[in-house]
Order: sequence, then C-alpha cells, then structure tokens
Amino acid sequence: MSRINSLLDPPKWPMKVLSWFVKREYLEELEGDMIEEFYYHQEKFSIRRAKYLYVREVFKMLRPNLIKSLIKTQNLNLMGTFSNYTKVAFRNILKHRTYSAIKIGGFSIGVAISLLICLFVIDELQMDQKLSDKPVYRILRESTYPQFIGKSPSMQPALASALKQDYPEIAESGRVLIFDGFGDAGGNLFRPADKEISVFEERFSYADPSILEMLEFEMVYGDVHSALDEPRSLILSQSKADKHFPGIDPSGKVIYINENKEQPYVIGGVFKDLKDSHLGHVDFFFTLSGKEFWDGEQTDWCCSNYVTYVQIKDGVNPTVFESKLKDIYERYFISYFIAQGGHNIEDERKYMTLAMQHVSDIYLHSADIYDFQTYGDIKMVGAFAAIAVFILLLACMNFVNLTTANSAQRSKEIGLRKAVGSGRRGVMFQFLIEAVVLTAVSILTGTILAVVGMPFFNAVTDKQIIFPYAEPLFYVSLVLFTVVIGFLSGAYPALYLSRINTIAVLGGHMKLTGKGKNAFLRSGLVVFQFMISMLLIAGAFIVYQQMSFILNKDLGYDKEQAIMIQGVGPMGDGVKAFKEALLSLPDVSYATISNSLPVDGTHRNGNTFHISGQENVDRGVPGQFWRADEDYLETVGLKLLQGRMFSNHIASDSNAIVVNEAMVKELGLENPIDKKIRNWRDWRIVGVVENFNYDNLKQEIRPLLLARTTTADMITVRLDTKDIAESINKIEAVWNEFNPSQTIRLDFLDQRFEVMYEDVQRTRTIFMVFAIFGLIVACLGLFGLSVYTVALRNKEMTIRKVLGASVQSILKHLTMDYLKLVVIALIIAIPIAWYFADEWLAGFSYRITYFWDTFLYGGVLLIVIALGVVSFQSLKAAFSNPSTGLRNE
Amino acid sequence: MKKTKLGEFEELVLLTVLALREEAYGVAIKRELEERLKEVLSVGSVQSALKRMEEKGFLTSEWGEAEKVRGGKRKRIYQATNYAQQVLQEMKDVRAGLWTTIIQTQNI
Repeated sequence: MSRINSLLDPPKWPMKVLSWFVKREYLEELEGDMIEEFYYHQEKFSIRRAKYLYVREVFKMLRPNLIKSLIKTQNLNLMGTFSNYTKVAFRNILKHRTYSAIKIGGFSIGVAISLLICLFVIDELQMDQKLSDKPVYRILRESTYPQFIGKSPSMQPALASALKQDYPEIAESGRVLIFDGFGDAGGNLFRPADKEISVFEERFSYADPSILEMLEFEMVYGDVHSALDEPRSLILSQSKADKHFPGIDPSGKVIYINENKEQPYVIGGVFKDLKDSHLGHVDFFFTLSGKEFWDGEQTDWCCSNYVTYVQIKDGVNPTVFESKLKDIYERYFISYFIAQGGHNIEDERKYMTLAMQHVSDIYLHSADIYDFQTYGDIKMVGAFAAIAVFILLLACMNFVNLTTANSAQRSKEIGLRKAVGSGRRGVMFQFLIEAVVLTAVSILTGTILAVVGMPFFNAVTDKQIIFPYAEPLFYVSLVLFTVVIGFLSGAYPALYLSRINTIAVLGGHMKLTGKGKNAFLRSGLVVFQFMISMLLIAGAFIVYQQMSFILNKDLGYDKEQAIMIQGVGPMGDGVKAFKEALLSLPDVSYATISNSLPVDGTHRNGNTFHISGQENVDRGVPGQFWRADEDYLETVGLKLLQGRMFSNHIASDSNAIVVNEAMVKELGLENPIDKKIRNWRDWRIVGVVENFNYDNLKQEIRPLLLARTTTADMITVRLDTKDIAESINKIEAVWNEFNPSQTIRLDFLDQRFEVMYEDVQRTRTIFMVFAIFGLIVACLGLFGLSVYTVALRNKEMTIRKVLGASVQSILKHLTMDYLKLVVIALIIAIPIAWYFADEWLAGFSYRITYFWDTFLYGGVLLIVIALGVVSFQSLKAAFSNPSTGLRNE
Repeated sequence: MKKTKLGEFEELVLLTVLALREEAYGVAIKRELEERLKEVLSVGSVQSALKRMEEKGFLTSEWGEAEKVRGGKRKRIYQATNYAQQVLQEMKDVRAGLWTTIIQTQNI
C-alpha cells in the first residue's frame, strides 16, 4: 500500500510499555490493531491526535483479562522451589566457609555501624519533636552590623510579659535564664536542710512558671501549672531527685544553696529528665517568679539576659505575629534607645531585626546563634548519616563483588539448572533469594554486634540511646531493610549469573579468568571502596591533627600545673586567710582569687565598653568583664605587655584595670595606659596583657578586661612540684581546716581546658572509630577478592612456577593488579578530601594550614594495608607446592 | 436463562462479528460499532470483550494475514459458534416476547 509510505510511523515506546503487561499470546493482534488505528487516525484527523489516541490506547489495555497474571501458572509448586533455593543457599554458605565468613563478616560490621549511626541520627532528629506542632517560638535578635554578624536569643527581662500584654495573638510567654554565672545559674553547693553535707551540683538555671507548660515538662511530682509559682521555689530532675531523695516525694523540702541559710529554697516538684529537649543540660530550675537580680532589674530595659519564648494562640497564623516583629523592635527596643540617647538610631534600624525560631529547631539549627549552649548540629547529623550510607554502601559493594567473583565456581551449577529446564527468571530468583538469605544472616549478626557495641557507642557519643526492642516499627524496618538490601546487593549477581550461556559452560568453553566487562565493574567497585576508605582515613587524620593543634597551641596562658579550687564564696573574708595558708605550702608558688579563668565552667558575661566620653557616640565594643586580685597574672601565666598589674594595696587602684590586646585594638587606643574606659562607671587602664584564649578556639579572641575583685568565687593555685598527688593532699588538708563541713572542689586547669573541647574531641573519636571500621570492611572485601583471584589463577601460577618463575615474580603478578586500583582510588580521593578538609578547617580561627602530608601518610598506610591483605593470599600461592595445584587434572 | 451470561456490550460485539463474516477482526469490529453507536471505543474494550467471549465459548478465532498497515502484524479473524447464535436467538425471542407484551398493554 503506497499511502502508508507517506504517513509517519507510530512512536516506539508505547509498544514497549504494552509488551510489559499484555499477555504474550495477545500481543501481536493487539499491536496490529493499534498500529492500524494509528495510521487511520493520522489520515482522518492529524498526527498529533493520532499519537494521543495511540498512547491512550495503551492505558485502555489495562484490563484484567488482557494483562499478564502476576503469578506464573506453570510455577505450581512455588513453595517447593522457594525452599529448594533456600536450602541451596545455606549449602553454599557452608560449602565456601571462608568466603561466606568474609561476606557475612563485612556485611555485619557494615550493618552494625550503620544501625548505630542510624539510631544516633534518629535520636538527634527527635529532639523537641513532641513540640513540633505546638506554636512555641524563641525570639531572636539578629544583627547585620559588619562588626558583629549573628543572632542572639538574649532579651530584656520585661519583654516576655510586655509581649503577652500588648499582643493579643500571644497565648503565653516565658523566660529561661541559662547563662552560667548569672545569679546562681551554673554550679552550686546543694544541701537539703535536714542533711549535714553540702554536695556540689552543676546544671542550675532559672525559669518562669509558665515555661513548664509551654515546653511540656512531664512532672513526676508537683503540678506542671504551679510547680514554680511560689517565689524561691525550685524544681529538679528525676535523676537528681533519685540521688538526693531516693524513693520519696521531695516536694516541700527546704534547700540551702551555697550554705545561704537566710534565703532557703523550697522544692516545688520533680520533672522527668529532659533527655530529648534542647534544655537537656539543665537539672535544676529556680523560679523567676518574684526574682530580681538587682534593684529595678525586672523593669529595666537596659540589659538582655533572658531567653524568651512565646506561644502563639491556636488558630493564629505564626506569620501574622512574625510580620509584627519589626513593630515590636521599634516599640520596645528603638524607643528605649531614643529615651536613653546616644544611640545611632538609623544604624539600629538598619542593622538590627527580630526573628523567631520554632522551639523544635533550637536543638539542631542553632549553629549561628550565640547562646553559649552546646547543642547538636544538623551538619554533624548529616555528616554522620553520610558516613552510615557510605559504610553500608561499602558493605553492599563487597557483597556484589564477592558474589560475582565467586560466579565462576557457581557457573556449572547454573548451567545444569538451565539444562534441566530452569529459566533465566528461575536463576535470577535463586540468586536473589541467596542474597536475601545472606543479608538476613548478616543483619541478624549485625544487630547483635550493634547491641553489644551500644554501651561503647553511647560512651563515645555521650548519649543515652536505648535499643528500641519494644518498637514494632524497628522490626518491620529491619525486615524491610533485609529485603531491600538483599535485593539491591543480589540484583547485579542475579542478572549477571542468569545470563550465563548453558552450552558454553557445560561444554567447558567458559573462560574463567575473571576478565572482561564483569572484571571491569569489579575493579570499579574496588576503586570506589578504597576511595571511600581514603576519604575516611584522610578525614580522621585531619580532624586529629587539627585537634592536636588546638590542644597544644600556645594559649597565652599556662594550663599545666595549675589547680583551681571552686566554691570559696561561702568563706566570705576568710578566703584571704585561706589564700595565705595555701601560699605557705612549699609546693605552691602563686595563688590568686578571681571570679573567672580562661577555661570552661567559670563565669562569663557580656558587657559593652566605650572610651570614656564617647559612650553616646560610638557603638561600643562587646567583651568580658572579669575580676581578679593582684596575683592573677603570675598564677595564670599571662604576659604583661605594657604598664603594670593593679595592686591590692594602692587605694586609687580600685578603678584600675588591665585590658587585653583585643580591647586596645577594637577601641582603637594608641597609648592605652591611663586611658579611661566606661562600663557603668569609668575605669582606668594601668596595664595591657597579651591576648590569651579564654573561649573556644573556633572564634577570634574577644576584648576583655580585668578589674580588682570585690568578692571571691575561686582560688587558683600554681604549683611547682614533681609530686602532684602529694601537693593535692596538702591542699586538701588546708581546705579541711577552713571548711570542715564541705568537700573540696578541685580541678586541674588542663582538664577543664579539655572539657571545653569535649565535643570536638568526641567528633575526633567518632571519626577515628568509623574510619577504622570503614577500612576493615574495605579490607575484608579486598581479601575476599584476592582469595578468589588466587584460586582462579592457581593453575597459571603453578605452571609459571614449574617453568621457573621466582616467588617475587609470582607475587608481583598477583598484587600489581590491585595495587594499580588502590593508586587510582587515591588519585581520585585526594582532591575530594582536600576540598572538604579545607572547608571544615575554615570554621576555625586557629587552624592547620599545612596538611598535605596527611594524604601521604594516609595513602602509604592504605597501600601498605592493601598490599598486606592481598599478599597474604598471594604468598600462600607463591610458596605452595606446584604438585598440589596441578594434581586434580 | 443460561448460566453463561452475555453482557450488553458483548452482545453488540457478537452481533457485529456475525454481520462482518470473514472480515470480523478487531479494528473492523471496532469501526463498525463506532459508526452504529456514534461513540468512540478503544481497542482495549473491544478486544477485552472478544477475549472474554472466546473464553466463554461464544467465539472461535484464527490467524489471518499480515498487512503493512498493521505494521506487519497478523489479524485475528473471529467467528461466532453455533452456541452463540443459539443464545442470540434466544435473547432475541425473549425480547420480542416482552415487546409484544408492552405493545399489547399500551393498546388497552
């Protein structure tokens, strides 16, 4: 027919789709009908309409009596086949013991590690999620001033109640005060009135009564609505209640804090530990009800110290309130600045805004918010999830690699199966079932490994993850995981092995050299595995180096042989006599009374400093205001650059201060000595000290000043001794003379310093552990492969040996192939590792810049390990007696 | 009536098969019906009915010739069985009986 030639042919793909689901015996007829209609429609209407109808026809073919049935009717004994496949799978596992052990071992380790990480990630993601639907927000102040870009959650004391009063969309508001050193927040001596001994407890905070309900505290004792209502009430966590009042309801008990018997507290209730809350670091809450830290503090808009939460009324869209934040800033902040005078109002309007953060975002999304709390970090969670996926991927690849490598040994079986009538589908199904069986065994072992490793993992990550035995979802996902991973890892071997040509394999023409497309894929997987291993190793090395760099950096003070003794506040003026007594010890070279030290767990504050007379002109410099006595510099080991330290004996030194270099620089002082700085009153600079690190080394050193102390929080002692234990005994003896009813609280400065870096150190440990496990998994894979190659090339090597090849040359033959792959992996991995290392290090102000040697060590290490793993088998082959290799012919 | 039922659409298809004789294959049946019913049918619906009736024993079929307009695919020619013709006849009689009753009642 000629008219057809002028018409366009129908598109190909709809036929393809049709062939997937339509019964084979109907296919030709249906296709013919459709094509005929296509030409007919094309002539009658247009090509577009014809195509449309053509595609539509495909969908219209979805009729029960036209489509293939899901279960093939000829597989009558489906259970029989299935159980046969399972039986063969188990036989195969047992037959190749080493092989199976490597497969299952590698896989189980992968499963165990990723299971643990998975639980960790879930735990992190679950933080505050019970509040995820509750419209509770934290108010933030966002600064875009070039000098200080960032967000802060600190608000004025009266803001919370003002918002609730003035804005009808707010249902409730409340405040938390979390900054250590503010009032009694932080660490305190804790004594129930009916007990003799004071115990030091940390993790105290303040909270409004309304907070309990807003953040859904679960109360063990006391009422969530009223537990903090009474002034001077206090609530504590269940674990602390169990410690101090085992087995009883402590509500109503009187508590002395820091031996202050004039102003006792009363316990208002006990709350369940806040394990999954961003406030998880708090064990004790004092009430803010009726609390005033100084006269007029609660109504003053000067000072921002309170983290403020608001709950928006049900039915009100949070964006409605969000749109009023500008108005709120104008109303409470700008108006105060105007009344106060001296602020650059235009700049304030331009650079400062309010923002709000949902309470369920606080834990993971606060990296850019300065609230001095350690939370999780979504980036970290992401990195861990990536590691889990990588390790699991490594394990799966091993599995695929080893199965395909093993295929030579299975090809005869497959050939026979096919010869007696098994279809390709049958063989595929068999290998998928084998993969699922192996996966099931591995996941079972992996889960057991994870259960065993859980306590260690918890210790490393500082978490209290409990294995979710009671969670049905856990088992469902394990089964699902088994099937999915089983099919994924079995898919390639199944596809590949089922394609084996029956005649070739049974006729003995099948090449068993392991070369070709399949070998190429295997090499690719080895390269990928070692690339990931290299990334893990390089990552671990660089994290380690950076950490060591920080821990050993010249901090500007001397943290060795220095001891701090906290809790001297209750001694009052007796502290001076105590200091003298300490100094009389031969081991003690210096001692100082102060309220702060450059290490974690001591007082920090936020102050603004101006050059006197300029307080209404400049914006001011934010920084620390510390107090100390005249021996501070010697004891802590600070270097004086200019001027002198203030003295306790010069009366006019009551307003004398020593500042750090950063203060001089940021205030722009040329000759700092005798210049005056204003903060609440005028202070006279008498000396400048070299910058020293008092905060996390991730940030630049901020301005700081030291003034003469009026009260004492702690005594720091510098030792000059060889026998530290003996010195401590002596110091303790002196302490007990002065404070018989209270145990000494003594810390080494270097230990407190390490506490500051606990989270980073934790990251380091976790990285190291994961890198090692990743490497083990990769090595197991390589080992398995080399077992296989050696077995495969055994005959070749034997013949070479018979013909006079040396052990070295045989070794070279067997290992070179893999060495090449490892080197390729290194070449790919190094730039990637370099890039990410540089990114990560950019987050530190003090960082290593020279780290390419890491790649050298990492690379050499990897090559040595790979060589070791491969040559273990190769050596066996090289030294074997040729007769054993040739005998079975 | 019989155990094996004949649906309304099936009956129409069956009648078309009879009407078209040797030319009774998928597309021809479809076009014939489309013309008479004045509506658009899909290949799937006609084929589904054909296959169903073949299974029930109303139709038999055999391969016809391959054609270029069909992309080189063969036709399948359908033929009604005696049994089908018998069932059709029965249905026609039942209907005719009913119609006469209706007409008589209307006449009263």
